[in-house]
Amino acid sequence: MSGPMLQLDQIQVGYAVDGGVRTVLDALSLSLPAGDIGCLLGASGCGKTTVLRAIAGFEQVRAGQIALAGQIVSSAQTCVAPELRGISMMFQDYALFPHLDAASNVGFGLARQSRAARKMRIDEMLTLVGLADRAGAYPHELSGGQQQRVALARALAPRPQLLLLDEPFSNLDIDTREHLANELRTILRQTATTTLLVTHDQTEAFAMADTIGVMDQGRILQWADARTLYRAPTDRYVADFVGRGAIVSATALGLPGHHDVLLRPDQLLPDVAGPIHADLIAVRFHGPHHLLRLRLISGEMVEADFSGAVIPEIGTRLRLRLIAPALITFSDSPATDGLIKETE
Amino acid sequence: MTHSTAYRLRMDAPRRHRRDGWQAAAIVIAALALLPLLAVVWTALQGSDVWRHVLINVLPQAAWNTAWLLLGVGALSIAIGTGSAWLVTAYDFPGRNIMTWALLLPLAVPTYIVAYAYLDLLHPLGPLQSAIRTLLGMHSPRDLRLPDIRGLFGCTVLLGFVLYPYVYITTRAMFMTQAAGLLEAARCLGVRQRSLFHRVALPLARPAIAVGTALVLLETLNDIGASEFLGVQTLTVSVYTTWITRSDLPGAAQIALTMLLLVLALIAVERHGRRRQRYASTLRPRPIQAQPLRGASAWFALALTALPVLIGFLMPTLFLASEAWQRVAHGAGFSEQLRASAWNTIRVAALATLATVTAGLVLAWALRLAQARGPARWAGAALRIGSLGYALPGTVLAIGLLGPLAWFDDGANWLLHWLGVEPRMVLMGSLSALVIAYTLRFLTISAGGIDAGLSRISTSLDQAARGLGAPPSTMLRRIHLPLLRPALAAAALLVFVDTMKELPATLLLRPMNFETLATWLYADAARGAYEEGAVAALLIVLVGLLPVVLLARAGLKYGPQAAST
Repeated sequence: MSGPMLQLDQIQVGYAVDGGVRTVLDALSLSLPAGDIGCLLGASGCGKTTVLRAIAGFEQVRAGQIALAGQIVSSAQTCVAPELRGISMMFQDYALFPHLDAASNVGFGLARQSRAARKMRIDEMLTLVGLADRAGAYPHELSGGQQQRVALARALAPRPQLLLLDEPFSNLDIDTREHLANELRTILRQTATTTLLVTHDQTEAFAMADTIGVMDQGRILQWADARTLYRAPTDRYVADFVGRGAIVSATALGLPGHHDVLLRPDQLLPDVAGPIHADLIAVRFHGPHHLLRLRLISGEMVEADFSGAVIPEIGTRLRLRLIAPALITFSDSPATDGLIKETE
Repeated sequence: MTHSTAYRLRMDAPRRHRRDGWQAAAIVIAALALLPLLAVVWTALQGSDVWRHVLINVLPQAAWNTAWLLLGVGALSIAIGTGSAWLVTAYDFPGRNIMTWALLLPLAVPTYIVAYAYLDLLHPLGPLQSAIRTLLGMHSPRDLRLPDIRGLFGCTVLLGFVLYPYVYITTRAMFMTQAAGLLEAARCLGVRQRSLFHRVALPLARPAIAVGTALVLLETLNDIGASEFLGVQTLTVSVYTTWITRSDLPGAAQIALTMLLLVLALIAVERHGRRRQRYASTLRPRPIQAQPLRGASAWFALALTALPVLIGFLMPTLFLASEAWQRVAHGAGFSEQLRASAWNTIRVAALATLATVTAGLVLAWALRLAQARGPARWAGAALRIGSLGYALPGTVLAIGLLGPLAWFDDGANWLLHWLGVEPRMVLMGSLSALVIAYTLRFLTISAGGIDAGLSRISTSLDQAARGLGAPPSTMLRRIHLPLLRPALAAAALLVFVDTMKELPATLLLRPMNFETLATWLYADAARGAYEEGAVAALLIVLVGLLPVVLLARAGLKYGPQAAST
């Protein structure tokens, strides 16, 4: 088969509110090759779950089209019913049927198969997710992680063309999360399942996805692999949202021009002969190294990794130099200047 | 300072293990609630001269009728309640928002009033048959024979159409809070829209249906007016006639005991349903995306949901309103008896409301205090036992109270005689008997409502108040009572309205020549004299609308809790 498994072309989704339309998704496009894992990353309310629901067929698109394996399933004129799309979705709360045991939940989507074939597929799926011994357990008897695995097995059982994952790890604690993310990626690779997931957590996105789209206000700002997003963001918001760093004016770094520059903590190195002067405000222990928080002469704040043995005293003026070969620059409105992202 | 604090601590330490006055009061109330149950069993064991007669002639037929009635009303309520709940949640059609709350309206019509209204409405000389005859150009009632509403079938249909809201409420709450994600999951797994109902929604709603149906059946068992008017000899009617016409208390108690066993079975079903319901609570509540309907199917959906409202509420109420209006327009105002019974109703309902809310507050507050100290086994048991009354049919409760009330009056008389005072019936002759019966029957409404209200008040407030030196009674007065005001008001309203509507226990326990609106209506209908009964019925329905409005405004959120009232 040639062409992508999933193709969104300029789709628009909105709700009629009195006197007009409130647009949730605006001219959104993306393309996902078969077997790949894609991810939509964005803060809550950016519209990422709406994208999933539109692909699954629960939201009508007002313009544009969604194609699955080359076939148009959604457009302003057509909307193929969700049950006919061959798309599986794993819901944020898993949506396991409380009155059915694990095996019956997994077998729910296999209604049209013979009893023997169904049983074999259920066994196969439960074994795949490591729950073969809990086939008779009801959802309320399973832990959060086990429920998630049953939900995954149920979603994969009908061999969907496309799997959608809505915040797959949000209901789990941190330890289970990391463990299950690896396991999930292995299973998806093993079954060669084309997958699109949405999350607000960039660690999850980096751990799971081949391609990541950073979303804000109903648009995808950049659709690229994790390394590109980090090293070469094309948008101020993406630069700010992904990874640590600061956007400061070029002049504050002694560079020519009137544009702004993205500065990651690993791009500043203390150097007694460096051209950049900054006051040390705070030091934070970060395991392998320390993170210095610095105020430039211009007053803008930046961060720098520090791996030296002797930590300079707070309040001292340091000299630094840039070690990046090519800096990312922005020339549009300086709304986010000097902001340092405090997420990890 | 240090010294006095240490002193106070030492004084407090032994008190922590003593049962305080609140808990003692709660245990007394629970014991009172248990009394009628024990008395029914005790009285039934006394045997009676006519027991063989009851066993052979009364019980089999009454049990048979009751069983068929329960089966029929249950099936009809499930069909109407579940079907309409699914239509208004899963589909969008013109008028859907109105139907969502309008489907609750039949709750305002007591079973005896719907029977009263339809007996007249469907009478061969009544407005409906006359209108049909006029349309068909017939002149005599003999030309057109519609099936008679009297009998088991008619009774089943009428009860089903006024009691289905219990199933509607619980099932709709289930669909609203649980179903959205599961239905979408099912569609992703290949289930078509029209199969969603029987493949996902119905199995999912089974616990909610069980809870709602149990309430419907308890109401059916409690009904005395409809079965009596429509000539169906049920267990409830048999208890009443065995006591009133044969004066055979042990015989009545034996039939009541049979009903009690039925009630226990129903409660077991309801508990089982609630247990299952808890499992699904991890899902995020999200409304179902309704499928828009157009054209004929939209009108069909509207007609289907409008039918129960029409039969269960609009037709009887409009008929009563027009009858009442005719009396007002033609007549010379309201009779002395009507005004007296309206006043009696308000008086006794106000007294009962005061007693019920106070007793409920004691039970809930004792539980709160006990919980602050650790596992609250006694107070918890007291609250549960105190709440038993809702399940007791009014006649069973009354039969159970007759014995203890008579014993008390005998004792009081002996005491009065000894004191040289003219003996009289202290409880039975006054409103006390009625107030006690109402309190026990509706205690669950106030105790449950106040307990729910208390659980929304953080326990850290208690700890803060106690830390600032307030003893429990001060804390109740200054912190909890002001915060509980909405819960108390809601409980008072519900108890007042339910007391106003109560018929079976009132019939058995009222003092001589004391009529409430409900008993007056009953007497009117029993005589076959349809005079001012319509006015009384309309008054009861109008007051009964108040809690329905409250329920509709709460957005049907409380589901089973509100439905049990």
